[in-house]
Amino acid sequence: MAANWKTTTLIPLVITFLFLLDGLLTAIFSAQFLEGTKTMTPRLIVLVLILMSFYIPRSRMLVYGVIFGLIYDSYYVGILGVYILLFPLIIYLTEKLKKILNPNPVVIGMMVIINLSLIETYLYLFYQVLGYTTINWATFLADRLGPTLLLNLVLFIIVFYPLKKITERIQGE
Amino acid sequence: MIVSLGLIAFSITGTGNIPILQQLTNDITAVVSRVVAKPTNAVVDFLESVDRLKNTYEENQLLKSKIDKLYETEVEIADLKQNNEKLKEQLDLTATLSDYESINGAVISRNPDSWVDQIVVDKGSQNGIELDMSVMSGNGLIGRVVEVNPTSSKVQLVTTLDQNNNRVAASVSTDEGVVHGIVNGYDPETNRLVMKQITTDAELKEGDQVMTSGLGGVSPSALLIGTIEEVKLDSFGLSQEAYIVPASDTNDIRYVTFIKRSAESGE
Repeated sequence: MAANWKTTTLIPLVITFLFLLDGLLTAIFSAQFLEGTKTMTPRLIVLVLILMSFYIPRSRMLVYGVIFGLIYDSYYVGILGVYILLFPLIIYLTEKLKKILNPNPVVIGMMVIINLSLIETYLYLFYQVLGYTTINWATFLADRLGPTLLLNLVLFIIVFYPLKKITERIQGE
Repeated sequence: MIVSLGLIAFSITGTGNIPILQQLTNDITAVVSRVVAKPTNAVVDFLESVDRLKNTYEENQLLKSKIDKLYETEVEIADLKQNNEKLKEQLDLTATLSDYESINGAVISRNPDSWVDQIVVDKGSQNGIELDMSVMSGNGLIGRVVEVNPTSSKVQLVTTLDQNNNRVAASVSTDEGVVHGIVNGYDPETNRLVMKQITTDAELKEGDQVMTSGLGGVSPSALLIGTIEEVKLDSFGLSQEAYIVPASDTNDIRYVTFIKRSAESGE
């Protein structure tokens, strides 16, 4: 019972912290992240969702995906319905693939790259359709996707072990 | 999928007045966010002050030379102000376009997904923030309020990619009079704003200062936007375009000032 209490409160707390860290990092390091036309997007929330999908049952992760997707939409973007679809989607994808793959750091790193590419591409097409942006495909790949993947790979290397330990400890007890 | 599309349609058609539930979500998140942002801001402030200490000597020399000039201008301004006030009294002008009140706020986060360049500020409708208010940082205009919650609000920056919702009525004072135009566009490669729809007979030159004109109905006049760097004809050859170096750096915003204009818009 005690373990159950821990997973239901501490896991969302960890996700919330990383969710807020995304916005804070962008606010503080915007001079570095948005240099010229290049745009880097920190996506710690995606990293943590992918990592936790390896440890936590799918049904619960999907609920987290929907809730945090909704908060992300409402708090950062202001257009509801973007991330609320994307977060459960990446969790579902990770869950499906985890049965075939074993969770070592390299494999999880690959999952991060696949999922982030998926998210960025979806967002690009979405904002293109809405008319928020007019950049073309090649510019998107060079200025957005590339730098974002690079940044998140670095972030992944930094947060992977601490997050893994935290998740294991919360789940283990 | 269908739910998602429905939600998208719902929020795009809305006009800034967001449902209570969303306001509540945003505010609760903002409160938690503030807890994380406060210590970080303190650390960054400290680092910055150390950084500034290094150039103190050079800055001091430069400033000393400027101060002498400032004394002269100060006297002049005081005189002009007095004159202006007297004239206003005679004309019975109570609120002109240049009068405004300001409210200060701290940035608590920025949209990581920078397709829509927005920052979240820790002041909301309870502090007197209203939709469409102009927002300044440092000494230049940086954006306008697009969403107001009770204790937090969202500011869309002038450098955002979405230029459909982003127009600032601007004017330039030249020797021959005031030239009007609209600041609507951002060139990310050179980090310059674009002022459009300037008549071809207007003669603008490099270094002219661009201000808000207050004729757009929301912002007061005489808020600095930036200085002109380049003027050329637009792609149709019908009007001129001026490229403006923004007065404030939109990539280094931690404190902002909301500008509430005193004159009624008469809408």
